[in-house]
Amino acid sequence: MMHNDSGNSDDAQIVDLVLGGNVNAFETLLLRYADHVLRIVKKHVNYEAVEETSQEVFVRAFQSLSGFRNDGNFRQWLSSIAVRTCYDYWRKVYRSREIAMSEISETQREWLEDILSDRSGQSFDEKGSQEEAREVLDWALERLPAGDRMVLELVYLEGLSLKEAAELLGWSVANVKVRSFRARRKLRALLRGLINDREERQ
Amino acid sequence: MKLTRNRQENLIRTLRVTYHEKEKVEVGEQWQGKVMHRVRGIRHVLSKRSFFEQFGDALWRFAPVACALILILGVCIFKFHMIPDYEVAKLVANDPVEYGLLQSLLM
Repeated sequence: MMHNDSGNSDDAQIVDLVLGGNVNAFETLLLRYADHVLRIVKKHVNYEAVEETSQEVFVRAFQSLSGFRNDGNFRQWLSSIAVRTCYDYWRKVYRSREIAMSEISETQREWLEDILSDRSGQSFDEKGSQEEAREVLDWALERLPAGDRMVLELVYLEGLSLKEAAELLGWSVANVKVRSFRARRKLRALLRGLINDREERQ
Repeated sequence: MKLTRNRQENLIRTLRVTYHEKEKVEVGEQWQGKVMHRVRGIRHVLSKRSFFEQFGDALWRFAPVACALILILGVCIFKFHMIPDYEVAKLVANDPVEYGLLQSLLM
């Protein structure tokens, strides 16, 4: 994440304005960071929930604005709120089971086998393959608990360090380390099960 | 098919690309207006917190120091036999003259 000192002081001034009672000044922060928040939210939640979750991120940021330290990085602070809001979204979804779990089709199993064989690189750019890849990814992530899902996305898919992921989630580094190990093992077991299942059928 | 290290890496690489592709999904801008609408509706949350709320926050910051002080005092009392009730009882029991609080105040 980039640090911009002039941007930081500017953000801090706007935060002071909002805290001083000028609620409309919050719109400047909203417009400045809308794309950044959207980028985070789009990767973590389902397409249908992107708008609502992004709204929730900014409302939560507004509610906890008095907790923002003026010497801190607003972008980083907001990123943390965004990641935690996405985590809460998944916890809520898993608790209420609002979304039905997707099933994997034969085409997606074939795609997975292609990827695992040497033929993978040739076909991935095709639109159809991208869709299958996304469906397999969603299928696997849906079967992980909310915490494991977030850690897996941040550490293995996004490529953040354990410390960065821990800061965003507000957890200890040790907790993230344990969860990332566990999540990766679960993901491997899920994908292995998928391949074995297909082989047994043939 | 065995899930060897190379195959795993290949799969993770592919899933990583897929994951980043999610960013490209287009979203409208109406939600930004809704945020400001909601924010204006809850502007009261920014009003100054009461004295008791601020005092409560500040109080908890001293909790570790208070615990440490209690422990240190406990050790001191135990080590130096500083038990006030016991000391007073001993003083009264050992005093040949009838020594009372009223008398000490009158002196």
